[in-house]
Amino acid sequence: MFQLHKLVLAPGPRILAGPLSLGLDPRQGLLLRGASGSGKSSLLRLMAGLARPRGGSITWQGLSLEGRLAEHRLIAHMVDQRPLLKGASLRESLCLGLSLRGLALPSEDQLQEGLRQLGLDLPLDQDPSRLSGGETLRAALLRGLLLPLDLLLLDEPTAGLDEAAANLVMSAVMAAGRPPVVVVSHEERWAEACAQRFELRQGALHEN
Amino acid sequence: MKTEGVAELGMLGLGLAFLLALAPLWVFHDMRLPLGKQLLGALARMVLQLSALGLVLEVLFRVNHSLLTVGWLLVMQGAAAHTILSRTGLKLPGLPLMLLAVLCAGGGTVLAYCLAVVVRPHPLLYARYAIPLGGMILGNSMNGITLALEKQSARLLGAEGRREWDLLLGLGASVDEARRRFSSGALRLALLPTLNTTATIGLVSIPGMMTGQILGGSPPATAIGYQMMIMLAILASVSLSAWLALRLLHWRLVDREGLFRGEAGLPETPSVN
Repeated sequence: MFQLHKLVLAPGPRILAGPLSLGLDPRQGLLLRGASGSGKSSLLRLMAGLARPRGGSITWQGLSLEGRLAEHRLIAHMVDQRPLLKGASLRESLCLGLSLRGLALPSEDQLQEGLRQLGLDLPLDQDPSRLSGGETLRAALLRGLLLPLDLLLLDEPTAGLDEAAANLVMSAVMAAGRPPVVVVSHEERWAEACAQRFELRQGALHEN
Repeated sequence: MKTEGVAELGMLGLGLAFLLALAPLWVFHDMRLPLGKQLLGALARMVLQLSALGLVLEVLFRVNHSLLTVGWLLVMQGAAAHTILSRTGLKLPGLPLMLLAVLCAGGGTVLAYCLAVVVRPHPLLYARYAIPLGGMILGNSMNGITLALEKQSARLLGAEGRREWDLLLGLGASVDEARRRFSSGALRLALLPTLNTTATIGLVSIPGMMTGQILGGSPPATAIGYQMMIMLAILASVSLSAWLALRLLHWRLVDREGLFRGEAGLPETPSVN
């Protein structure tokens, strides 16, 4: 559970939204919608521990994130809208989070299986900078799904994907045993899959 | 030490040496390269700066007072810090002082070690040793710091670099781990020229210090000993000061939790140009 307390969203010079005071529950899926520039991605960055609010505070499971950002980043991970894949090979980029945490790396078969579940059939020694936009998006999602997380934050995870690929992504994310998820998306498919739906409109969060 | 004395150049000889400047001028003319003005400017600066240095060194060597020597070393550090600032174009409050501290801690410590432990002249701050050794150590450190800071600030302050930084943190890297991964390239860049010189020294070029000593009449063995010491001193000083400068730059730009300072409060992030 997130609890926002008089939270002000202002990643740049302009205040996008706030003060926001409410609880957000991602356990059954939480969808954030709103026009571009309304502050959805900024809220997601706050939830990922990658930014600090201009004002107010945000708590996760009863603990304020202030001063605990590094800890929080170990259990929460955000997949960008246009993610970056770093590394000489696809294998290396998929395992970056695990190797940074000093965790055991999955086998080739496990990685191939993860890719297949997202509709990807790629050699693991492929140069990741040569993947297409849709492939990059799904590879970055798999990189997140490999991590031991309490919270997954997805910014437009199916934008630009065809119907079949989008369905695979959604079932992989919503499958049993996956961590709670917060999704920013315009697409109706996520509205059906998420139990809580909020819209950022005119600087405030409206449940719908 | 046997000194055979140096063949004095004399005004006529020096004047004839300047005829060599006709070669680059002719090349520029042939290639229609508009560098002539720059070359003349550079030569004018060389003449002025070296003449001034000559006068200063005359005084420093004649007086040979520790305080004066240390004072001149500090002036050299100031000039090095100024050069780094103007070459990198970094505008961060507090950076000039940080650079002075870095040059003191990196170059100063290594120079002190060379003088007090290796060379041991009497007095310890004998200007004839302290100034040329300090100059070589500081000059190389200055180049190393400039390369490291240029590379690192371009990465840290550019949009792509920020995304990469966020990615490392977002995948669970500690701030220290992210910093290490982020700045290893800059440190490598700073050290490569010195490493390359160290590995190829003596094969083709005879380094400036050795040339000077040999022209001055020192036996090659003495010159070689000094040259080895100075290469080690430069390696030590460049790595220490570039490492320190990178740490300070990070500390100045990124807070304890890995967020860019100013990102939470003021929207202004420091600019490079």
